[in-house]
Amino acid sequence: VKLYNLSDDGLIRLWTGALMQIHLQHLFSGLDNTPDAQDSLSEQISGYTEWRSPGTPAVSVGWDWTLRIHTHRARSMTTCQRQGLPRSNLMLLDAQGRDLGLDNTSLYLAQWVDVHAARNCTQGGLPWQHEILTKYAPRMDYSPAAQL
Amino acid sequence: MTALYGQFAQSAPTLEAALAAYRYQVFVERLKWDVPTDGTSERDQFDRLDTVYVLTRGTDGQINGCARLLPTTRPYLLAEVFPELLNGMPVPCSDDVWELSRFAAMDLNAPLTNGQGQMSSPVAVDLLRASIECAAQYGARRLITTSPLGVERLLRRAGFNAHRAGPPKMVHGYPLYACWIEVQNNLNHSIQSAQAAKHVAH
Repeated sequence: VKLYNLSDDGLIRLWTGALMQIHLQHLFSGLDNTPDAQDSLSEQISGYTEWRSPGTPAVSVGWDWTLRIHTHRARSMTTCQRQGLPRSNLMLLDAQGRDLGLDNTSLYLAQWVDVHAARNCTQGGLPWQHEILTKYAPRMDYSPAAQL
Repeated sequence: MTALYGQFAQSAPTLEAALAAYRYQVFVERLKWDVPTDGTSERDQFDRLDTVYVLTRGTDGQINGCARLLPTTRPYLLAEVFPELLNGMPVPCSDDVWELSRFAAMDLNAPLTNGQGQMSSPVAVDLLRASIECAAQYGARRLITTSPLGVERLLRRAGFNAHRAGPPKMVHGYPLYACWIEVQNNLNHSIQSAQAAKHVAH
């Protein structure tokens, strides 16, 4: 059974409850900076990540992120956080089937992205932080000088 | 900043030539796009006599932004080259839907900084407002764009009413996406912003 269709305005309309049944797959992620900046190590980097559902039409959601090194008592830890609100082709609907609006949809998606980040795909999760950390944490500069 | 728009190939060929040279410097020299060129100017098959252009100029009179508007009732970039960006939707073909492409706001006298790409706010915001006003003059109700993904951030930050048409796609190493922009909603928003600015100025 199809969960959704594409509306004439190019948006996919979806009940908020049905969002949990959408399984997004990682499409690609990238860095914000120009190619020369990507070659150097840094204590903070930022970028974007894109996810989509299988098939056509596809649900498409993307958002920005920041990787930061935090140091406490000579121990370093890298955190990956969402920055700003997600961008998508979704329009979520309330219980009466009314559009929530693009801004409210983005707010709802932000919560969804954060809540599902800790689960893997088989658990209906959205392991985006794992994707970003795996790909970009090796580019971080963990040297003491970078922490000053 | 001043904004101009029109069918320059018919009404202002010198301006059209200057715009093609600006596009060459932006898209070929700076952004390294693989697009048709004669070595000094950039035009493709969608630069026709009926093509509508929008440009902005800085206080020094130099072009610092450009955009191209095409009616979807005639051949246009998204329909001919990137229809897959529409996420399965039939390509638009309507008098009130226009395509916005070759959008760039770049001061060529300023050094290229990290992350600037083809977007230098606030010129980009002014250019987009001028493009929407121009499109409205030609009867557009909605705009569809093929743009680098970074444009989506600009639209969001500047408060434009716009949304992606579907998933982005990597083309020559750069993410591209299609975006819908509502003309009337954004015109109202521009008027409100301008009124608020006037109010503050007084």
